[in-house]
Amino acid sequence: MMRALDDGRFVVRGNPEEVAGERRALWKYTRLWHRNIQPGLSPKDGYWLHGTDRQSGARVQVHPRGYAFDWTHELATETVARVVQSLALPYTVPVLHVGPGIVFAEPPPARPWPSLGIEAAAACALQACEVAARLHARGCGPLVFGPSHLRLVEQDGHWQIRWLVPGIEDLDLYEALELAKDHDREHRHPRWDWGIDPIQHDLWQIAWFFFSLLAVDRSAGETLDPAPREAFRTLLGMLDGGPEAAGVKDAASLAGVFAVLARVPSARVQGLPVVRALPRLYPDWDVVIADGEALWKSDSLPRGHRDYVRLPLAVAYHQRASRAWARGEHGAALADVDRALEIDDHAPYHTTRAVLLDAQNRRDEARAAIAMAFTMDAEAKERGFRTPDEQAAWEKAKDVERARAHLTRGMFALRAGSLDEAEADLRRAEELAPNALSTRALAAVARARSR
Amino acid sequence: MRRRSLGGCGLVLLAALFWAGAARADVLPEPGRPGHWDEHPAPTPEVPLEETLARRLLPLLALGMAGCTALAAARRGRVLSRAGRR
Repeated sequence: MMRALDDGRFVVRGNPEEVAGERRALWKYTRLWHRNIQPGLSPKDGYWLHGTDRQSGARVQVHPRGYAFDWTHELATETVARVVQSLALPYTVPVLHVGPGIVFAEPPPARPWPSLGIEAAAACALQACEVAARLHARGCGPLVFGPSHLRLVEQDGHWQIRWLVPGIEDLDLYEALELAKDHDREHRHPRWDWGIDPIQHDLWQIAWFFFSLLAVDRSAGETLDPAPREAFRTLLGMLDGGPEAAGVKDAASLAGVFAVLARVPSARVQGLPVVRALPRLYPDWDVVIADGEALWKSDSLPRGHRDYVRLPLAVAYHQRASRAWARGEHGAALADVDRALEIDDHAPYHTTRAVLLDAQNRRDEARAAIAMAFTMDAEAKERGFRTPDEQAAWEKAKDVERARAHLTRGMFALRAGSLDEAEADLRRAEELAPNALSTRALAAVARARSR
Repeated sequence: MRRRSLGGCGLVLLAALFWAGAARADVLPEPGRPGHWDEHPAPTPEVPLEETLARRLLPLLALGMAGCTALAAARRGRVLSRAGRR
């Protein structure tokens, strides 16, 4: 099957649905049936498509969109791809086009990693640290490793990495299990935990990458000079106890350790950003809205998958409305929240609409909108399987939204001179989610009473 | 005969369990509003600021400053006009 991407610039061969199916099956292989994985690196061609760039005639590798029910996940992956494209680091595979799907320049073939000496292995791991530090600074993580993602090339007698970012999360574990001597032990290793901090995960994986490249035994580190020996011991400590236990908290620090082993001047790693907590990476709301609207109107969206696009699309409109409100652009904000409500009749969007109408002195409409928020909240029947932690977070978010509705109705009542109604609403807001606004509003009621 | 039928039942039960497991693995996540997209605080109504002592004195202070500026301007005007007469 042939497809065109980016207004026909790229011709893509293969069936994206087959790729999506292969990727979806991966988590079952890695999480449920990992004991059946055969040892030895298997070909991974089925996880990407291949094609040609009509402009240059060069071959390209394509990460096609998966199923529509995974739309938000695909958007997150494409957001990372946009960061990689903008950074254009020498050790990453160039990203040529993003959305929908990702087009990479043809990477070097995925092969088993070579066996290298300590210095050459450390040089490759140092390159991985440089990429990781810059991606962490932009909120990208956890990253993906394994020979399909971290590909190696030899240039002028030196080994270099060509990192395929973003990649496929489960493929990383799949390859680790293929290469592991003991499946169960590898599967249970804490670096594969769902809840691991993304930076800790990436640092741990880079240390594993280094030791996977080593042609020599781990005891070879003891024969090194004092400074490299100390660096080698730090890495050995990381391998067993994790980066935090070894005192390594960021990719820049780990780069410093590898710089000693690779005998590279420390100046090379001094400019790297020190990132110990991953900043949040958000998609561009304009892009999400344009993409979601196109998907929503397309006939190819299966009926059973419509809610996976509809609900996030309305959230994107509400996010854009909230930003416009903060800039004082109440008209644009109202248009966005109206569209959000057309797509998803959700109580908090009615509260936002009430606030925006009130800001435009449309008082009667604002009062009707806030009444609607309470009606919708009472009628809402939300399903969902959640873990106890997720349920607690969900309840808290709901309380914050209910408090905002009570604050809004309370302020409208205060302005209308209905002090008892105002106080009841504001006290409820204070109970649900106390914040500076509700405290200040209650003080305003007390002042109004004393006058 | 009885043992064989028991074995058959067991096989059917095993097949059903396997099918249930496979079906469960294919269950899609519940569609929802992505909570992690809560980037920006949602709009809230305008709430009057606290009436502190400084806030109450602010109009007096502004009046005082305006008065001083006016006096200074008048004085400067007188000086200039006196200089002009000379």
